[in-house]
Amino acid sequence: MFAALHGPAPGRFCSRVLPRAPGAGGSAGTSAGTSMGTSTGTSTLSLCPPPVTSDQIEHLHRRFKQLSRDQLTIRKENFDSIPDLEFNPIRSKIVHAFFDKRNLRQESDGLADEIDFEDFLTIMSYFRPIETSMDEEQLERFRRDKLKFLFHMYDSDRDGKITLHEYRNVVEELLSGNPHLEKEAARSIADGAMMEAASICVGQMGPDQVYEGITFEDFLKMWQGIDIETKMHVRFLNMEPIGHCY
Amino acid sequence: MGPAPCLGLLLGLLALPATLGQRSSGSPINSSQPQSFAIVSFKWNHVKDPYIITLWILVASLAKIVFHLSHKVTRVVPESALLIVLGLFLGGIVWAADHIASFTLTPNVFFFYLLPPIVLDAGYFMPNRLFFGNLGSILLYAVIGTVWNAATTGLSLYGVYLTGIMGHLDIGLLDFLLFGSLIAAVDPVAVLAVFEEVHVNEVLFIIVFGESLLNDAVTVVLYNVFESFVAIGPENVTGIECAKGIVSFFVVSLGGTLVGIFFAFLLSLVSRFTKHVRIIEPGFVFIISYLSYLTAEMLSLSAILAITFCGICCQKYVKANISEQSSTTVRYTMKMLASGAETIIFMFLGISAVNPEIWTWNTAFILLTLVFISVYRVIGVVLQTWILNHYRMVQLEIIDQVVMSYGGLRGAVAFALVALLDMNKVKERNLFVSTTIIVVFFTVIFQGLTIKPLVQWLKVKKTEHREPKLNEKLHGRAFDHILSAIEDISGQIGHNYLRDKWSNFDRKFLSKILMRRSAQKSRDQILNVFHELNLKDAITYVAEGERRGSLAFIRSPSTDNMVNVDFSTPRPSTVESSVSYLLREKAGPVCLDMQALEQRRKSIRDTEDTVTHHTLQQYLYKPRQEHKHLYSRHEIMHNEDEKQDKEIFHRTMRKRLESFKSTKLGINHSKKLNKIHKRDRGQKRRNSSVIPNGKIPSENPVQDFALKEKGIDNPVFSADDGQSVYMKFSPWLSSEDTVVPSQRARVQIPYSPNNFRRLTPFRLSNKSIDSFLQADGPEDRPRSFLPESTHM
Repeated sequence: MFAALHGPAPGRFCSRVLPRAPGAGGSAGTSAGTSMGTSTGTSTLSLCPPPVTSDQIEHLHRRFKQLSRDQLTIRKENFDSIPDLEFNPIRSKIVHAFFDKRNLRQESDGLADEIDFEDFLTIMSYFRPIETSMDEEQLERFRRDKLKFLFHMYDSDRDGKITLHEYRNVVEELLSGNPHLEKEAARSIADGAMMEAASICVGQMGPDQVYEGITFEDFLKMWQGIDIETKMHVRFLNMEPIGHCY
Repeated sequence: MGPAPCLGLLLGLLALPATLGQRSSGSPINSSQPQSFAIVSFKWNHVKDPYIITLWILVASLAKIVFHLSHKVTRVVPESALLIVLGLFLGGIVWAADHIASFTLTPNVFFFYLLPPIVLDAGYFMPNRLFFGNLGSILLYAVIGTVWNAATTGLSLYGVYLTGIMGHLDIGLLDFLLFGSLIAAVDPVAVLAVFEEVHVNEVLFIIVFGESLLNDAVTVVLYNVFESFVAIGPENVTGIECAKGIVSFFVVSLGGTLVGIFFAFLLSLVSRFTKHVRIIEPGFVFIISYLSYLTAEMLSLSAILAITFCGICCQKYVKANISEQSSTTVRYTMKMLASGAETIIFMFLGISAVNPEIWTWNTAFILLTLVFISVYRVIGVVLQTWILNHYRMVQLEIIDQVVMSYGGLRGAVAFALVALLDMNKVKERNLFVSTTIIVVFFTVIFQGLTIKPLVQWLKVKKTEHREPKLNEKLHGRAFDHILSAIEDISGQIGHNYLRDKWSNFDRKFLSKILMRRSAQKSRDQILNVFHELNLKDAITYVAEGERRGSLAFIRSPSTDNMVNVDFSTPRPSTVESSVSYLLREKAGPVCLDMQALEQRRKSIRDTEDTVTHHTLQQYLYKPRQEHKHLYSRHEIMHNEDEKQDKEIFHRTMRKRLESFKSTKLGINHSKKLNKIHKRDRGQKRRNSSVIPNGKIPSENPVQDFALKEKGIDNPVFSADDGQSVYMKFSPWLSSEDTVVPSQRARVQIPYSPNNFRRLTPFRLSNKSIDSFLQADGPEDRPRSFLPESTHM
């Protein structure tokens, strides 16, 4: 029950930077733990570096190789090989997020065709749990980063706004797991949610004012008071990879 | 006398012999043989038992009313403490009159009749996600914590006893351990009673409360083991016996859980087929759950666990299956039973204490017990939390630990267990009983009294009561999927992975077996929230109309434009007397009150159903009361025309939706608003179950306002006016103003006024609704827009 493998024991941290993308396949997995010192100049993340422990990195690297079939990079198609993902209604959105450059590097845009291990880790690090040692400011940034990731997922046309159309899309996908639900219901839910968002973010609007979409600032507003940092994390519970993925 | 025979499922009460009987039937009525046929005879003995039981219940309930007359008292003193004091008082009176302490809380009555409703209520309304999310911590506290408390308390008492401070007692190590085991367990009834008033944050609450529920298995096992050890004598206790004890723990706890799950399955299955016996539908919930309790008891498994898990597991399916009315019935009945049982328990704890026969005072023993249970509770909590915090995502802070330690209330379970002890086997039973009473009183009264200030002083995070938000739900759902996907991708089995797999399994198999087909369809949490919010809006809207004395704005204009006027205000002359005008000028106060109403609604969510039904039935469509006076035991005469209701609902929503494009609530009467809020809150306190007919803020200023600033218009209430009305008199109502703000607004989401947030109809089936969301030009749209269905 409590077998969670939990990062924060300080001694176990790898250094506070991302590991460089491991070199040729085989050795990197084991060396990942040691090669951490090399700073990655390119990825100036707003994230504080992921406190993923070395054996977690090792594990993730093994997994990465498994997914990429021993290639250096992962392409979208590689994600098709994960059987459990198939039933996920928003799988395409999630997979998309892995290749979204906004999530990978700060000042770039567009979609990557393939990602390397470093990018893979970067994405994973959005899901790390909070640490007790974080101070207020770090927490705030941490929260922002997580929300940004989420926001990017909704904002599929990258204009910095979640428009009604985008929102509807997400909701439709979300509810697609229930075969009994009609599309119209999903749409009206999205509409309702959008109105709610508008009323939260803007409050009373002028008669000719138009709510064009949820900006990131609005998004932050909507999340006020909700502990995203305690929700949006994955417990690195069982480090054994699920054996048969292919 | 044995436990009272019955009183239905409701409240089998207490064992009661003759005190009252002796006193009141001391008159010679029964003694003399009637010479002839008596037209009226006084048969006290005939009805004595149920009569006294009912009287006691009445007294307890009346006491509750009295307590709540004064807010100052109930805010400071927990009800449980008040009830105990009242019990002491009443017990004192009875004893003073008769010198017989005959009303006691007997274990039989307690375990068979009083405890199950409380635990069932806890299980049935358990926040499952929270519970299972914290299950690990709860189990640790419940199992290890309780064993720790029992062992340390028992051993320490024994240690002190050996030093001789307590004087001579006819007592051995096993007796101490037995006592330790029964005094160790945190009591669900007491915890619930006190914590419900404190409102600590939900994680903290679920941990303490979950612990108190789940530790029952440990308590039962420890109690049984030590009791049998005491019975067979210390010299016969071998390693094998101890091993048996440990095995029996697993059997009792897992067995109890399985029994609960089995009956939950059964209950869900049965509730799938109750469509034609709606009236007894709620009964099944109680009967089958109670059966699970009794079955577990029969198999000497943990009955509390059984009924808890029965409630936890069945809630999803049962709530989906049974009708809305039945669901309300279940909710109320359950709360009533639980709250009634709780009241009686605490009162009789007080009454039971007034009995000189059970009192054996031993200062050292009693004081030390108090000290030990408090100290070891703290130590146990700190130690376990220290371990847990290595694994928990959300750390339990020091403050939480303080509250957890302090919240370790002991209660009626301990008392009932100690009362069960056999005087012949446990020589110092009376000492145990009196100590238990003292401990219970101390924890419930003293700690219950001080925990609120403590929580405030420590600034413990409290629960916020939030309206469910659609966005929140949607994001929550998205989260679940994202997290499970991340676990899938990173290739590990975690919490989310398990939850995801479980919900898949549930959707594919369990729900198919256990839910009605119709329920499967509509059973989606997001949909539910959406529906709920929609309903809420509609109710506020309708209630508002009702309050104003006219529902004209809902009615169709085609029937009568001029009839549905609001009679509460004098008609302005001439042109202005049209409906729309009358209604429009009320836009200001109406909207204000909407907010006020919403505020109030939080407390009266439960009246929703009633209110809608009431309103819908009374005011809408056609009078259809006439044929409803038939009596039937098996059917509550139901409006056959639910369809009609639905249609009305849809129509209303649609109309209001329409208004979004153009509505703006022009004024911001924040001051007035506050006033209204205040008043409403005050009113809420007094009669929270009825929507008070709040006074309408004086109309004149608004009227003036509306007259002055003609540009402001609230088509919420005028959208349904026929074209003719528009044509007659409204230069400012031209379609450009009211209907189409801008092309963009129709592509994008329209801005929304403050109060109507989610007015999209449940299903956007009618093109008319979508029309403003899609980009059709203004010319496509008829001027006064009326969907066909609004014409009757």
